[in-house]
Amino acid sequence: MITLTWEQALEIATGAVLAWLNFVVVDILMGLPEAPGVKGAEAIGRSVERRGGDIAGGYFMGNIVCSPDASAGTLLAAAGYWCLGGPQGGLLAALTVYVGNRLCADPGYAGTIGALAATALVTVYHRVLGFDPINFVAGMVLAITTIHGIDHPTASRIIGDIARRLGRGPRE
Amino acid sequence: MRLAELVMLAVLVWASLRLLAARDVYAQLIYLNVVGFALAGLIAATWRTDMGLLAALCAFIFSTLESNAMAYTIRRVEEIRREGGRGG
Repeated sequence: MITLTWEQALEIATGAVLAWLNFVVVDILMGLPEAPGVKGAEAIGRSVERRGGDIAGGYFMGNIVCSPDASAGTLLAAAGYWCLGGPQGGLLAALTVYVGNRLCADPGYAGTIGALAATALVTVYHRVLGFDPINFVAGMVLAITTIHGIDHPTASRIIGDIARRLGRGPRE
Repeated sequence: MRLAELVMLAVLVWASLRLLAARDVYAQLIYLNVVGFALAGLIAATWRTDMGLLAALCAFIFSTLESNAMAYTIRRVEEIRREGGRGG
């Protein structure tokens, strides 16, 4: 039986906005649009550029696909909070993302920092706003869909624009 | 079933269909990443236990590891083909 309420929709929308801001800001400040962190990310970035996109946004998307970054950290920290019922789940997720980065030969710390920031966000989301943490997980899935699931060239241009405004354009 | 699970299921089906329809292999990898997000979220939502969390963590972390290996390999094959074509 499916139970649908407007409150759930509002909680998912709030979660999506918080998650989107968290991973986009952390990833851009950690320099994901500047250069490909791992080999596979460069190929994906070039492909997005070839299809009419922006290279900074392309590197950003390639880095997300090829190594656990702040978006992975946000999703897994929220899932950890939900499964273990407290911030300790988010900390476990941060540790796992750290190990995942090293396995991918990624020198960055965007994933670990993103997971810790998301743990703080989900704690506020649950304890202060009184929302269900699973709605934050669904919000994060919607947030990544806006970047990766609809139109790659347009999303890459938006990300590239934000990155240049924050002084994190491609290093070339 | 909660609305959250329904949303993740819808994203999973949507990204899978886009993946099948996409021509560019790198675009397919990006859609595959969305499938990974939705799948990890659904695993954690369905099994709210420590083992459910472990399954979600492993599913997602290793899916990015695989995507990295695939993107790198496809690129390497393209480079080797190009070099072979130039060298005769």
